[in-house]
Amino acid sequence: MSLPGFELFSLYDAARGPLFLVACSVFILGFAWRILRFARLSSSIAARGRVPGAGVRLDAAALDSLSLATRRAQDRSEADRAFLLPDKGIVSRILFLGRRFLRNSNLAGNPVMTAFSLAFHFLLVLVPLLLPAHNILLFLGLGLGAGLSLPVLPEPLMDRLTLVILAIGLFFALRRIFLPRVRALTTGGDIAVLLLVAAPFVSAYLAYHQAWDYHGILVGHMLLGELLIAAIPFTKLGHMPFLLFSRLFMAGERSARHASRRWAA
Amino acid sequence: MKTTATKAAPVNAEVLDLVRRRRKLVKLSLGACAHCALCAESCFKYRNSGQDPTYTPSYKAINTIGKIVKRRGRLSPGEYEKVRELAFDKCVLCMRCRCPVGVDLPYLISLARSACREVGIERGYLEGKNA
Ligand code: HEM
Ligand code: HEM
Ligand code: SF4
Ligand code: SF4
Repeated sequence: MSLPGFELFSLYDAARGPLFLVACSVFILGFAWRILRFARLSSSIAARGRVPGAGVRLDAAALDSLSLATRRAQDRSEADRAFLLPDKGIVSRILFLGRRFLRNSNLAGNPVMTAFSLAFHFLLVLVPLLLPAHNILLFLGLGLGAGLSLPVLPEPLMDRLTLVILAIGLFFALRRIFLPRVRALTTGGDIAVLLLVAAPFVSAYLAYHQAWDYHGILVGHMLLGELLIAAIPFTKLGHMPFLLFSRLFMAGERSARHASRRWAA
Repeated sequence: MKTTATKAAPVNAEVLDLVRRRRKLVKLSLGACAHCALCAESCFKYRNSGQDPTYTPSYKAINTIGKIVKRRGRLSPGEYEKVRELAFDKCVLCMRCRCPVGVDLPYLISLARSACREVGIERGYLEGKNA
């Protein structure tokens, strides 16, 4: 390319190829590092001969004889167990468990926040992934040719959804500023993270609408997107891997029933 | 240097040891906290306090063990007094707080209590401090 855009274009080439791979590598390695830390800071309960929730030390044979179903039943109160007997009928049993689930979920106590949060998280991942522009660039950039692509959705729709993401991000920011309990927890880092997440979406929106200098904004978009991807494991955005491990492996009152690990002694 | 109530107290060896052993764990857990305050309403102490933000479970964890770990145990007596208030008076360790991200808040607050005990701070039953 010619004239003033020249340096930008080499940055453009770097951003859509090698820098993207660097960002992804940092993301994956950072993720692995977090998982490793998790593994090293916890230890297996089964190895210690304990039944989660029972608080009784059993020998290995007794442990083996307890099926998962038995352990689950042991975890429930007597009243719950009575209610869950088969003669209650499947519908009322499901309703009972549903009510129990809702009562035990803090998201249900905040329906607006729940709806916004779910929408925000799903869109945050799905919109960039199912975007035609991304798919074309990704497969070209990886040298795989233009024939391959994930399923994509039409760009005008994605453009609207980008606005939805940004609107919910604004809702989070307002919550931070105006709700005393959220403000009491807010640090400069929280605002920075919100901006970090919003930045690729704002720049993408501006690029799509060809505001100002299209190429400059587009290169900015790519660099900001890559910054976000690389930063996830090292900021509080690392709550994604944490959640999985905390819920699936760590024994606790809200973890999955077969949780098998505890924080190391 | 003169010692005043706000100057950091000499570091207690047991607290240092606790910080050393639990540092990574506390940092991992609090590093995952989204600072969203969704745990607030799950705490009956928060709800009964007229929604005082200092009763939010994560607020209690961050400003007790989080602070102790960050400062490696170097807290002034006045600061330890604040930790005591949060970890003993504003939390009963009922284990009922829920965090959607899975942060184990009661465990973290219990660590703060351990640190307090190491420096001779307990719940003030006799002084009528347990509001
Ligand atoms: C290497 C990284 C990236 C490259 C090369 C890239 C490239 C592009 C390109 C070329 C467009 C189309 C702009 C147009 O229509 O003219 C676009 C749009 C978009 N990008 Fe990216 N992008 C990257 C990373 C990201 C990331 C990490 C996110 C979000 C987390 C993101 C979110 C979006 C969105 C939401 C749009 C659509 C905006 C709209 O239509 O309003 N991008 N991107
Ligand atoms: C398994 C995946 C994930 C789960 C289960 C999850 C869960 C949560 C939860 C429970 C919160 C608390 C506040 C709320 O409900 O909005 C939260 C906040 C947040 N999440 Fe996620 N998250 C995940 C992945 C991600 C990813 C990949 C990103 C960004 C790239 C992200 C960005 C955010 C942001 C920016 C907030 C903060 C909102 C605020 O500042 O109040 N999350 N997440
Ligand atoms: S502890 Fe959990 S619920 Fe509470 S602010 Fe942190 S992430 Fe939110
Ligand atoms: S353990 Fe403490 S913070 Fe958690 S719900 Fe009980 S009183 Fe509240």
